[in-house]
Parts: sequence; C-alpha cells; structure tokens
Amino acid sequence: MGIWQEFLNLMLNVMVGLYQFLGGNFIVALVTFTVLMRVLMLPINLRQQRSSIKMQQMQPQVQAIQKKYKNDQAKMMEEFNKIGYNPADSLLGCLPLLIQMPIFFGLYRVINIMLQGTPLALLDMKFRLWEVFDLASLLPIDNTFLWVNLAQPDPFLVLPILVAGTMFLQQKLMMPAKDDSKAAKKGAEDDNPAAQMQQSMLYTMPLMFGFFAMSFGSGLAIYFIISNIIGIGQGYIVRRNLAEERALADVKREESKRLASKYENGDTSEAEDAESDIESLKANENGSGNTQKSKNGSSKNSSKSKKKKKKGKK
Amino acid sequence: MKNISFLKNSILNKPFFTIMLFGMVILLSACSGARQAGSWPSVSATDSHVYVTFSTDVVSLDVDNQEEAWRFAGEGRVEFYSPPLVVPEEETVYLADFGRNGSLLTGGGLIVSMYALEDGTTNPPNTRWVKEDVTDGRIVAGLHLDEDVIFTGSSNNRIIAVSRSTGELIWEATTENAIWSAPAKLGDTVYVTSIDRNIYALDAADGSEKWTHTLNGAGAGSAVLSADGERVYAGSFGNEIIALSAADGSDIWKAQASDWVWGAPVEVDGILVYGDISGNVFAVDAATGSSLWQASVNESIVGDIVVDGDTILVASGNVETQVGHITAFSTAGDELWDTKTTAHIQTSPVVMGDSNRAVLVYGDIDNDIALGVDVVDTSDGSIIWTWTLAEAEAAQ
Repeated sequence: MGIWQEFLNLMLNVMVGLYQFLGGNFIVALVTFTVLMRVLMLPINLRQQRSSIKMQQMQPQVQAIQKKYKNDQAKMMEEFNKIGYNPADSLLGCLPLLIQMPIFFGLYRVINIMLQGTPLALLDMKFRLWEVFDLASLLPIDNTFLWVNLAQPDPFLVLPILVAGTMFLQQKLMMPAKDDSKAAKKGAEDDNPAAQMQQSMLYTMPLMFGFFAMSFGSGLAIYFIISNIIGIGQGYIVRRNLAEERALADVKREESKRLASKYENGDTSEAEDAESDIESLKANENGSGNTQKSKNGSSKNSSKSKKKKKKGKK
Repeated sequence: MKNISFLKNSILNKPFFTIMLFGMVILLSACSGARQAGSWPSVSATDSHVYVTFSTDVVSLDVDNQEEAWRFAGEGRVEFYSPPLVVPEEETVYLADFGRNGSLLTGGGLIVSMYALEDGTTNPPNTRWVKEDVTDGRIVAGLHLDEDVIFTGSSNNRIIAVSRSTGELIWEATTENAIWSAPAKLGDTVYVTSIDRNIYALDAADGSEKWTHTLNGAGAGSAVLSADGERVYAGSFGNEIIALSAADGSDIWKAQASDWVWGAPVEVDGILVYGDISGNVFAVDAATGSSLWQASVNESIVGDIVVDGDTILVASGNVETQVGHITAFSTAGDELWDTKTTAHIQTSPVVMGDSNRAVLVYGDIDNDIALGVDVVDTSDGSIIWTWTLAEAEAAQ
C-alpha cells in the first residue's frame, strides 16, 4: 500500500474515531478535525507570516542590489546572501496552501467515503477501517445538515458563496498589514513580489475554491468554511501578536532604504558598515522576539534607541 | 541562478501570475461540471443481449453474434451506477444516471437524468425520452417496472415513482438515508430497503407508508418476496437476514450470517440462499429460517445470489488480489463448479433468460481494470465469450 493510501487511511480512521466519540455527529467531527488540522498547520502559518514581513522589510535593499548587479547574477546572489535574503523565500507564501493540498484531496476522499456517496465508497471504507471500529454500528452516517445533503453539492449555492467570502477574508488577514507611510506603501506593495503574489491570490483563490465548492459535496464546502473561519480568527490573533515585529520591520525597512541608496550610489564601504548594523538589528530582533508578548514597550524603546544610534553615526 | 532570476522576473511578475491564476480558475470551473466519481459496473440481460453500464459508458452486446450492438453516453459525460432496465417486448432500455454537477452557467447543483432508449439497430440508440429533473439525488439503485410505473430510489433519501411513457415524477417518498436497492413490488405495495436501517412498505399508487420495520443494520440489497407472496426477505449490515410478513411487517424469523449481507437473497425450491461479504453462503428453510447448509467461496459476495433453473450462482471477488469467481451450487449445497473470472466481481451475475448462460461484468477505475464481460455456460461454468472495452476500442 502506497504512502498516499496510508495517509488516506489515517485521515479516515481519525475522522471515524471523532465521529464515534463525539456522539455520531458528522459536522461536530468535521469541526474538530478542522481545528486539529489548523493547530498542526499553525507553525507553518506563523512562519509564513513572519517571512512575509521579512521580505517586505528587505525589498528596497533587494531591488537596489538587483538593479545594480542585473548583469552579474553571481554577484547579485553574493549580495543577497550578505543581507540574508533568499529569493526562494518569496514562494513561502504558497507553502501553507501547498501543504494543505494533500489534506484537501485526502479530506475530499474521506468525506466521500464516509458519507457513502456510493456503494463502492462504503465497501472501500469497510476495508480501510481499523478493527477497533465497528462500522456496521456507525451506519448510517447522517448525511444531512440544515438544507443540504453533505455528499452532494449545495443546490442553492449558499455554501460556495460562503466558502469564497470567508476565504477572501482569511486571505486578507494573511496579508501583511498596510503601512500608513507613503514610503512603506511604495516599498511593500509596488515592488515586493511576495506581496504581489498575495494580492493576486486574494481574489483568485476565493474564486477557485468557490468553484470547487459548487462541484464537490457540501461536507467539503463546510470544511472549507470552518477552516476559513478558524483561519480568520487565527489571522486576527497572529496579526495582533505580530504588530510588534511589524513595528520593528518599519524601522528596518527605513534602514534598508538607506542602505539601498548607498548601493545605488556605489558607496559599498558604507554599505558594508551598514550591513553590520543590519546584523545588530537582527540580533536585536531575535532578542525582542522572545519577549515581545510580555514586554510590549521594551521592543519599541529598543527600536527607537537603534534609530537614534543610526542618526548619530550619520 | 538563471532559474531564480526567471522566477523573480517572470513567474512572480504580477500580470503573469494573475493571468495564470485566473486561467486556473477558468480551467477548473470548466472541468468541475464534468467531474467524475468512481463507480462500479452493472449489468442486465435478455436471452441474446447483455447491457452493461460502467463509468460513462452504456454498452449493448449481442452475445449470439459476439459483437457490440450499440454504445450510449449520457448527458455531459455523466456516470452510471444503476443497472439498465431492459424491456424486450417494447424494445426499450430504461436508465438512470449518477448525476452531473451543473456548471456555473447552469447555476451549479446536481442534475440527475433518466432515459428511455430505443433498443433497435441504430448506434447510438435513439432516445424515446430524457428527463432531467426527476430527482435531485444520485441514482445508484436499480429500476423496477410495473405496468406504467418505474420505481427507484435515490441517494438523496427518496423513493420515487415515474411514468414509464414520459419520465414524469408521479410521487416521491422520503426516507432517512440513501436508497441503493431496487424496489420490489407485489400487488399494490412497494418494498424498499434503505441505508437508514429500515425496510419500507409503501402504497404503489401514491407512496404513502403502509409499514416500516427497523433492521439490525443498513440495508443495501433489494428486498425479495417469497414465492407465495407471504413474506418479504431483507439482508442487512447487522450480519443477518430477516423474514417479515409482507402484509404488516411483523417478524417471522431471523437468520445469522458471519458478516454484512449486502446482496439480495434468492428463494428456490423452498430454501432461501444468501451470502455475506466474508464469502460465506448460507441456505435456510424459507418458511422457518432454520439452517440447511453453509458453504464458502472465499472472496467477498457483494452482489445478489441468483438461480438458473435449480443451479444457484454466486459471484465473488477480492479487490486487493483482483481475483473473481463464479461458483455454482445445487440446492442441496453441493458445489457443482467454480470458474475463475477475468477480474474481481463486485456485482451480481445475471442469467440470460432460458439460454443456460449467465453474464458477469467487471471494471475497476481505481485499479485500472477496464470494463469487461464474461459470459458463462451455467451447465459447466465454462467461459463462452469474453469482451473488454479496451480490446473493442483497440480494434476500432
């Protein structure tokens, strides 16, 4: 049996287990399963959000390097390495979605199998379940919820619209917060490929998943809606908690712009000096990152003192 | 390095990325209307012809001449699960499909159709009528024809009666879960088992409930009426078979199996024979339910048990090993012959009238087994003819 089949069997048995232990309610089992999936995905989502902020703050400097070394890829990469920038990180924004794809396809199969859309699915389920479960006593698995048959698409299109709407809100919250300063807007929105990608995904992903929900069983649409609502809540909390890091990012972006202008002017010696400043900023970020939740004021103060230090250097 | 540069300069370029994503959306939405689900094959037969449905194909085979008669595809590459209902006297084949998802333009939802095809010489056959809005649930169950009414059930918890001549809905009755079994009818009563663990007795004229009886487990096989019309038999996933009074649904007897009883039993010469998905075959006295004999065919029995004269035919299969068998027993329980089929069998064998032939159909999308048919001589189990869709298409 292949790894995909093993993965499917694991998901199916977890879902059936939840269904059995949570009073035989499919929706309750689905909600619990979705929360579990979200908790498992939390570290990746957080990493993606942090990476997004990091990309945002480095953009002015990155673009200056690109412009300066556009004909020398090796040198460009060398300079990228110096400032700790990896172009592949731009694609990190897609990672949570990519990781969710096997779960999505797996859950699609699991919902179809569990809701007995076909005799073949039920037969399949019987042979996939661990012996601890007595499938006959679990049948029939209730396939109705409100006005929908969970194994069939929603005839009134309410669920697909909710899928698209909640996904839009979630995507919106996943995006880095817009900075009020004009400079930050210019740097973050116009030139950052990761931000551009997220901007595109903000509209296309809800549309795509809305179409999916039109075709697939309502059980899967309900999974999307629950997942998105949890994602919205999670996004809100993460957004609030990362506010500190964003404040620091603002400072660093300004610093990055200053360095970028040095690159553009060809003042590499000062740029090298400034790189050591970046290192100290990174060290500061690591230090403040550990205490950011409990010491809201301290990181701001730390950022301000760094600003003053830079002004002094100038 | 050039690859990274390409990523930066083109893939992540905003217009390119946006166009790409919108392209994906359009492609996926276009495909979604024709999304296919897995199905298993079904078969019906007359003395000379075999009618199979599998995935998106409905094929008629002329067994006497060992050739394909016609092929039919439903609306929008829809799949078929339900076996065809063949009425040779009027040269008509009735079908019900598994439903297709409506596209964005049609407002989504599920579109389930029923068809009446002219079983003549044209290929593909002419349609007498196609009805798209009979029910909003996928049809897996077989069809039962009685005079001018076709009875069937849907996965959307409905038992329906439609007009034979137009496909118009006459009545529908609601159950608590899906119907996968073909209804049976005696007199003015329709008997249907449901996955909701109930057997329903409904008035054939208007679908009103006469009685219901709760089984020990879900019911996927058809209810079967005794020869004298006194009893109705139904197997269940509760590892038993039950005989009820056809008149009022009261218990007459129960008999055990060692696993789920999926397919319908058969009554022959006063004995009732049924199988379970562990591959056991049981024979009990039809009047009392007392055990007469037991045998094993080793592989899962999912289809109905059938008889050809006094010969009991049992089809079995194992999805993992892809081994299938058809085994014949006498009414005394002696194994008469056993034949290995081309692939594993998940459906019922069908006897071809009085021709001493039975047909078995196989096909498994998950395991890349194309649609195929074995025609077996029921007197000795020899395979008379094997037809496969793959070979037929290769020959064209």
